[in-house]
Amino acid sequence: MKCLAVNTATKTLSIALVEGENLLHFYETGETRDQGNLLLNHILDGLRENGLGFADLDVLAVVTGPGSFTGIRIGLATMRGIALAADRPLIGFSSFDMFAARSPDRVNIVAVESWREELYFAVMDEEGHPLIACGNETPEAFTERFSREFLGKHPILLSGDAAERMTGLLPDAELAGVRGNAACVAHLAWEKFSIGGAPDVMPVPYYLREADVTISVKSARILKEK
Amino acid sequence: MKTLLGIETSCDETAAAIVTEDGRILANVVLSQQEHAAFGGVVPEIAARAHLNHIDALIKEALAGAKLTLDDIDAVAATAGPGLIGGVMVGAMTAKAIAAVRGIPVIAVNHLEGHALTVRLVEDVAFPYLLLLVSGGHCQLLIVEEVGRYHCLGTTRDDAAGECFDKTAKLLGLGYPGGPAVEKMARACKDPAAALEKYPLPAPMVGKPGCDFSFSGLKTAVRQTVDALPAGAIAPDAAAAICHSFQHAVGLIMADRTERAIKQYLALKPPSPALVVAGGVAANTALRQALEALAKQYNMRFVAPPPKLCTDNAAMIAWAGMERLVRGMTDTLDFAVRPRWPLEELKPHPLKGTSHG
Repeated sequence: MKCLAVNTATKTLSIALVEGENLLHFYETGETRDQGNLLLNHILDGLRENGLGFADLDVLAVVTGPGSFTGIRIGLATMRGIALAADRPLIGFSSFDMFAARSPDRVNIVAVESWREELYFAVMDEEGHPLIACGNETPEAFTERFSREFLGKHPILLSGDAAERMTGLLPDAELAGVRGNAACVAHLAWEKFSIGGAPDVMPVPYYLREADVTISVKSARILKEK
Repeated sequence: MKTLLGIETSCDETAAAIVTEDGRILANVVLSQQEHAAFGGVVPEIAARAHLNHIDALIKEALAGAKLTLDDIDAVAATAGPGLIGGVMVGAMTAKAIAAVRGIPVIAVNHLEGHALTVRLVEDVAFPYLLLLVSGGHCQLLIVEEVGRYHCLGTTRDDAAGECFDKTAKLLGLGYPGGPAVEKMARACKDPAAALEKYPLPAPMVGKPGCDFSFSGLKTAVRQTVDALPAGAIAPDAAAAICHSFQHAVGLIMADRTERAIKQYLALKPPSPALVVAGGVAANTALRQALEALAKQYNMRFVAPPPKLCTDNAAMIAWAGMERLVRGMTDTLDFAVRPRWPLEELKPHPLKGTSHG
């Protein structure tokens, strides 16, 4: 069973090609500036090195966010395009799914980089599913709310690409050291696909923030009804 | 006979189309995003989100409409700029993915080149022709010498003509998009002569040397005119009169600038002189009539593609892609998208001359 997974939503871009438990190809870069331009070439390189074509893939996986709005769209447009053209199933996973630490006896907080003051946060259950998720709280505000709502539920395990920004605020928390990349997503997809197949619908973006819009009310006037 | 899929996502229209080498449009689906109406203008992040939500379904719809599958498609073209980059990226990545999977060429189309070449999809027009390109984001006069070779005679120094229509519509509370709303309102003007007298508006650049445009002064004058109206809701008669006066001013500007460009163009002694108008604002009937009269005066053929192909659509992108494909001008999967991309930065095919009529 072969799976191609791509993450372009978070700080580090990664592409993984797996067959069952085996990682056939892995590419990762922190240089995400021109990621859209190079993404398809990296995917083709991975397939070519393994003598594979798109038709040999059983399932595709993509990270749907939260993270960079543009990054989310690059990954989804590309993978939805591949799914359409190759007629392969595509499964979406959130950045929280990708970074989840899955710990039986600790509360896992995932913090994802947003390139602004407020981060993306999720508190995960022990299976790796989010109990709560938010996209408009600063580390301080989130810490305060978390301390209130999850009182006594310590110890805390921190993961995500912004986890290190939280250690000062949650001094007792431990960094989980979860890598969180396309290889993890490929394994999640493999797990999900082997149990229940892929959903019929295409994955949609998970922005977790509204688009910023400022409305100029000054210039609009109303036309009198006839 | 080649068949090409085109994708357009550079502003607020999500579109997919399929055209053939001999100029048949097998499918042309356009989804105009309604999400921006409340803001009186296009919000880039909202546009990008909407493009992603709809583009693959539109491609399926285009294929189904043409009774084709991707097996029948020989190449994919997408707008690679200029435009709102978040949206452009969505279309470009979708095109790259389809091309990579199907092993077919991909073509990065300049949106303006799409507008510039559309006329050749519907009419037999030979190079070089004079083009007035007027849309929501652009306003320029060009000599179209060959696919990939454009000589710019004049461009706007500030706003695009379409922007000015949108702004006028917004000031008068006519809604968005402003072009059709202003045109409809202007038609309702009962006394055009009196309207010009009561609400005179300037026509910047008219009579000045060169072929450049400027619309900011006209925009400001419309604002001042609207501000001077009695407080409260605007009377429809006043709105109609202002729309007429505005459209009249735009017509004067266009005719004056275009006439100067015609003189420069005709000095080159083109074998079959033609004036072509393209872009969203070219859908304006009053403007078309003014330009048609001008072309007649100079014994030039006047060609305007049907309004449906003047506003943003993917048939024009597919066609520009086709013009490039048949000349061997294809791109690689790592092509970059560009928010700014003047037509003059394009290059014709290095090995081919101007022989392609």
